[in-house]
Amino acid sequence: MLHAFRNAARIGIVGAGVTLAVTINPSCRPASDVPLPSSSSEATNHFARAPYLQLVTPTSIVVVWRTDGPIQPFVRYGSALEHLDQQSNPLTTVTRVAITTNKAERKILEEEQPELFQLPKLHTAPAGQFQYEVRLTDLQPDSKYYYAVYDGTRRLTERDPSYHFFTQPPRGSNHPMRFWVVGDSGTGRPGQHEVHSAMLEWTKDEARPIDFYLHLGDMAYGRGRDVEFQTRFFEMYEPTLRHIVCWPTMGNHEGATSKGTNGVGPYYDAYVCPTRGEAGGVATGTEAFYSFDYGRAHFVCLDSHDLDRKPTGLMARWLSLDLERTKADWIIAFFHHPPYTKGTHDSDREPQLIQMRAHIMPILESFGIDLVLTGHSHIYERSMLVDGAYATPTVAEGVILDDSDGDPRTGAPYRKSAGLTPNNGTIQVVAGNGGTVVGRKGTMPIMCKIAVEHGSVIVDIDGDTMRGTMVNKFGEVKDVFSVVKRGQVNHVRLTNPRQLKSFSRPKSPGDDPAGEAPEDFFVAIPQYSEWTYLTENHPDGLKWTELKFDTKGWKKGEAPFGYEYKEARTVLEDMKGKYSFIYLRHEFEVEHADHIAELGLMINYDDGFIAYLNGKEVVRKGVGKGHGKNAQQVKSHDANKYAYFPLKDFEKYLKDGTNVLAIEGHNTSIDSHDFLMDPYLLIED
Amino acid sequence: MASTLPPLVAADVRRLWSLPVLLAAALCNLPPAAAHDSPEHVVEALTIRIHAQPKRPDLFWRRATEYRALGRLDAAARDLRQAIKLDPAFLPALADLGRVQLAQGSRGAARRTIEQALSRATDEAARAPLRMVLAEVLIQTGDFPKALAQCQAAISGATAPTAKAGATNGSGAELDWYLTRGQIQSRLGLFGQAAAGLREGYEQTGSAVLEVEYIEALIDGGFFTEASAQIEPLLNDCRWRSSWLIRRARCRLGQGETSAAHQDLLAAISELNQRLGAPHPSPELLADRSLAYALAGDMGLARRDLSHASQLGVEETSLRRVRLILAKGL
Repeated sequence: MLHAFRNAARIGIVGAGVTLAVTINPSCRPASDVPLPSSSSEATNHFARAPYLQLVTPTSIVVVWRTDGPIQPFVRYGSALEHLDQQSNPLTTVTRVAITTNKAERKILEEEQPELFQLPKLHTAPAGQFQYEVRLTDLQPDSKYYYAVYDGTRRLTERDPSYHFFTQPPRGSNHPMRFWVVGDSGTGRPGQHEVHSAMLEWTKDEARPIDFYLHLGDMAYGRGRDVEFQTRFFEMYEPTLRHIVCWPTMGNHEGATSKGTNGVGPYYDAYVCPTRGEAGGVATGTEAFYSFDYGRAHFVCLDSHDLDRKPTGLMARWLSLDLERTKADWIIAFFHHPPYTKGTHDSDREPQLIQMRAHIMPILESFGIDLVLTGHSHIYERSMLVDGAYATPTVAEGVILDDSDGDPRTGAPYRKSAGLTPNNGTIQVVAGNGGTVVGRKGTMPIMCKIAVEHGSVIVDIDGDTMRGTMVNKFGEVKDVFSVVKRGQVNHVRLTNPRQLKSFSRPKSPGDDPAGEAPEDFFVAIPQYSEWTYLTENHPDGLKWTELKFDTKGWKKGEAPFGYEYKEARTVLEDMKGKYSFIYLRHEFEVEHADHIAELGLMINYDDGFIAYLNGKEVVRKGVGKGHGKNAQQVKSHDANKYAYFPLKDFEKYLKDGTNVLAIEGHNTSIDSHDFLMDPYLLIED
Repeated sequence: MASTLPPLVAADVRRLWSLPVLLAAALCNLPPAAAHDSPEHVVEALTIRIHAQPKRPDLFWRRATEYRALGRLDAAARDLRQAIKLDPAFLPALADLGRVQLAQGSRGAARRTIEQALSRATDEAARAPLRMVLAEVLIQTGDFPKALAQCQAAISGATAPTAKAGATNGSGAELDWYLTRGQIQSRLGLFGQAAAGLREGYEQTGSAVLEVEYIEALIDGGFFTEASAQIEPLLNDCRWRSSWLIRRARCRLGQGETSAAHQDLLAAISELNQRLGAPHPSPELLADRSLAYALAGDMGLARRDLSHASQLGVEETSLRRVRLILAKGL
């Protein structure tokens, strides 16, 4: 099959195929005449980039895919899987091509296929790839369509119900919506996959799938090249992208190869974004920033990376024009650089972040923005209801309108006036925890919830209520906030609002024989993480310390583990008098293990422990000899502070990808009056 | 025919996607600090790579980009010079060095750098962005006619049919270039040309900002009837109307419809008052209200808002109209 496809491609590019690919086929047959393949097995591996959806409106959508070499691109679609009775119009198909950069080859092509050079180019894509952007028009709003991609009469996509899409509801209609928000995910690592899977599982459990998705940038580490888009975005999210539209914003990593000022680069090749107000909002004339409507909500995407962020700049001026015209009840903005963060980035120090806060936030808030979604900082941070926090450094005094946690499960949602009211309060969400290594520098004063773990955000809007839910990579809900816009709400600015406890980097105890914690580090296993653990029985040997060990029958619980210590989150109520040990395992991801200067265990413990990295012992404290059921000479130690232990010879055992840290904790005896194991893991780069 | 096909075009492209190639491509090009990418970390990562590969101009250029993001212009300039030393025809580095020098206030050096780059560029499409940097230099030196010439050449070069292929915005020129050209033309009193150029940009790209600038140029040039025709549908389509009411009032004042203009201005000020009630209002709205007061003849309140807006950092380009009225009257 592949051989035949290559031949077809070869024939196409030097024969009539290119012409067929780029010009109109005026005599395309009625869809009913096109024969369908007899089985789905015929329709596999035809794509260099599998079909995905873009720029959906109430009456149109764009289906995009790539092939190696040209084809006759058609999309057939209809309201039933077995009844794809409509066919795309070649007039609404855009073809892009990647032409070899070899000068000699280009010269030959220029002579033989000059029309190729008139096509829009794909940047850094493999030579010979063709991208097809097929716009389907005259669709019914709020309707489900099935579709299939064809090369002439040959069906390329399988007969699979997942190839479908929904058009948007009519603009201005009061239509409930659910969308997924993820940032900084494009590593291609398991963390990214787990966050995606957790969203799918969580929405499946709720029997309410997402309607669309916002990506907050950094979707293709490390330089946003075409191959990185393919492996770290399109292949990772393919099952979702074939039936859900992703609305993107460019991150700094994509900015290494794509340029917002002229809209050129792999990022701009990958996405089809509005430039002329096609999806609602005001025309931008560029794909770098844009807006779209969904029901009663207006979404604004900005390029915070490489465009002028000043109020006199093109983007800010467009923003004012766009927002003065919207008739929506909700405004949601998304861009890459967060105005407020103390995650892996510091918005009090970095110019791009400061400028987004000082220049863009006043415009957004003067039009009554409700929610700002950003990434860049690899953490989850969610603010209280805030307005007017433009100063540097950011302070909470006088800018918080409601310092509750806005969690409708435990208290009251945030309240705002109905419709759009200027300066009535904004929720800021930093969701840069979509897949890469998370970390934290401090506490941003306006924040209400902070989570240093992988996850993503699912937002629901129904009538006058918005609800945001942070789901971690294990599918657990780690934060919920809600905003209700009803009646007239006048806030009193709080002069002394509630604030989270300040965050200070853990220090070594000094008088302990442990090492000195690094000044600058990243968290590989966060504090209070969920660990897999075993009590009551000893595992056989040391197989349990290895990555491939099957933990079937083990339990899960949040650190710290213990009893009689108020810090314990997983309380081992049955431990005293019954057993004196616990076995813990936690997997973690590492990119570029060879660049890591030090790996260290931060632990508050009572009484002793042995730690293993990928099956090898790397730290032993308070356990004289032996291990497991043969552990002996356990010394008494009170858990009154954290100690830092560099992992011995970690460079021999640590590897790129998934690793496992295993810890066996021991009490001096089964009658000991207390016990605690409170570990987390740090990386010094 | 098929036998003459270059081997890497179309045929066997799937071979390029073999796993080892993919892995090598993905891993070798990842900056070491990809996982936590504050500019400082990226600088550190690039520094390590520069030590290992000190002959690669692109690494110096990339580190300069990070230094610029950090506001460290001296370090950026140093790296850009090194990149150019390694590859004297490295146009992105030359263009960025010109921009950095301009930001440092070294107009002469910026001009020399860009002229060097222009001499090395091989076609007009490549020269176009360089010409725009040169135009910025010339604007800062007050040489508006020459700045305009550079803008014109840049837009012509970028919008030529060969350069336009592949442009994503319908025009090969960047949107900002049309704005800059229009501003220079307005500065030179060439309002008709400014309006025509901005309209051309708007028609090619659809940009709403160019559309507004086109209307502003019409008003500034005294083409009130044409401007009013453009304003009415836009005004009627807005939830927040103050900026359009002020534009219509300017037209009406120009047409001698003083009473109608004042009604527009009162309505605009009323709406702006609603939006300026917060303790930290948008500074741009203050500039708008200042202009509305000035057009309504209330120079005291206009000066108050102007002063406040200026204190909050509103740029002079947003204040120039009200300053003109305060200096010369309506």
